[in-house]
Amino acid sequence: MLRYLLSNLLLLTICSTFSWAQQKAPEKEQSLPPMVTAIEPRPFKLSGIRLGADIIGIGESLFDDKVEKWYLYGDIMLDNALFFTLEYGLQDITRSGEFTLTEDDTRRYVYQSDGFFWRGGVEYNLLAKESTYSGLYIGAKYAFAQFDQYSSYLSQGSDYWEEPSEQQELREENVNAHWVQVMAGIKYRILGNFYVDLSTALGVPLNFTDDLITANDIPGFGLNKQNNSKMILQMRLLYKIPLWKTKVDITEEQLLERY
Amino acid sequence: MRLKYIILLGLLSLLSACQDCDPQTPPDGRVVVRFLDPSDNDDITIDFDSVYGYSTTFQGGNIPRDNNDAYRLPLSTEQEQISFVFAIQGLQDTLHLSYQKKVIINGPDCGNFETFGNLQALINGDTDQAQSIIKFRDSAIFDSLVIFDEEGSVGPALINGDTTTANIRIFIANCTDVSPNQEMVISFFDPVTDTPVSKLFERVYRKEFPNRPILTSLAGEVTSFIVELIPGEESITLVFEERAENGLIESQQITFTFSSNISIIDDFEGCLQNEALGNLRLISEDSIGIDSTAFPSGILFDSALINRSIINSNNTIPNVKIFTQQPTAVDDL
Repeated sequence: MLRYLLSNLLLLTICSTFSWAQQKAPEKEQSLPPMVTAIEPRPFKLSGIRLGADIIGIGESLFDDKVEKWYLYGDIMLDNALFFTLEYGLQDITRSGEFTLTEDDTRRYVYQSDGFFWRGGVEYNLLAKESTYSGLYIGAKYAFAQFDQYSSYLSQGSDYWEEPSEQQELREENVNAHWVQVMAGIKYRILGNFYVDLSTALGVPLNFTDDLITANDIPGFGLNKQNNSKMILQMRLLYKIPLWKTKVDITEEQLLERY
Repeated sequence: MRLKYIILLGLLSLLSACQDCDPQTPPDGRVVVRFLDPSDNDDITIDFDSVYGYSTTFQGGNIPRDNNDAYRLPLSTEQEQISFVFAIQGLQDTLHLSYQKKVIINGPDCGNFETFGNLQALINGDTDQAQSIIKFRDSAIFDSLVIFDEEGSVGPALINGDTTTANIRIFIANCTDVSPNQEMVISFFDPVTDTPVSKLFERVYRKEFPNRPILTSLAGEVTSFIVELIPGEESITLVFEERAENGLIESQQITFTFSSNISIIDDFEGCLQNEALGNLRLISEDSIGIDSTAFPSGILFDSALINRSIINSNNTIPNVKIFTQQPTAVDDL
């Protein structure tokens, strides 16, 4: 349910972003004083550091006592064009319940995944020339997760070996998962130095090393369905540390001299 | 252009919210073993006399061949190293397996189920490293073994719900260049001690060829002799003649039936013969094909039994054991 709520929230944000993007051009024209504000053409320069956390994960952690997802995000901004990102997350998820295998076979199960992930890569803002703060970006990242798994299951037993059908447990430690993801997203400055970061990524598994228990819920990757590629939704709140200015003020004469 | 980006992003985000699972049928925990001819990789059908599994703590009963000419070996849910013995015609080989219990998590709404993965074979039990390909050296029946993973490649197997595709293929060499043996070995035994006894026959011959004896008194006393069977025939009647102390000839005849073109494991050549002779049986006095029979009206012999029903190139093992009459005690006269 929470996912659908978040999806709707995402759509709303997309719509508002669309409005922002459409209104941005006239805004520029109206604010041209004799002393113009312009983005100085120069090679990429360090322009900011943003830190943040995944809002979806925080929401799930707060509203579902069987989910702990604490994902941290940081990026280094080169102007508002290139972002070098690094993420770290802790995740502890427990699922349990009954499921119906066949009409007359209802079983109980427990699955737990507990671990961390690192994810790093680069993002490029497609609207770098049009916006000083916000952006519509694409990116590519590499991710690595390590986690422990536990599952309680109904062992079918064996008539031949005279073994009964009974509930058993299995634990697997230090499961590794490597994947890459290509992504697209929006970083929208909502207030001062605060940004909302919405993105969707296509996660492509490289190597999932589960031996005993299917790596079903991978920190940072989410639900894994038969090691197939999948879409990963992310929604973060970011804060930009105000250390660098990204604009310079120059006169009209200086601007004309340069061009 | 910007609008397109945003719509695309929105659609992808909606896709991200979709999660589902495909219900799967749990496997029944049995390894499918098929036997193949290494010369052409064709399946061969072998009816083992017995196949049974054992572990360090338990020995199971016989496992029959299934309807698809495969053997489906049950895995233990409590141990991860077990062995299976395949026995046929006095020969046997042991297949040692190692594997790991595995839990398939089938998505948030479809639960989980147990299966077995990383299935491999050990040549000589638990002292060897598990392997997916084995060339047997000192085996009596098996030539080599290959294990296939769930994608059909050579490698550790995962037991899934497929009950027909082989997890393990065992190759048994075919005796393509060896002619089937035709020599039926008949031996004589004491009915009380079950030890070999010597007999001096005047003649032993096929009933329809009295003038072409198989054995004569010139051979002296024998404990056993060989009868050449003819492929295509279905029975043979032997007439045994022995000279009594009073000089008269006493005789008794025994009829055997057999089949041609059956598959056997030749224990001397160590390979499979598809056109061998076997299914050897005795015909009792009331004309019933059986594995052992008494001769109530027999003069020379008390009884007989089929000791080995296949005609094999290893002729040190008798096919037929004939028990001689006990000498009549003087007091009984």
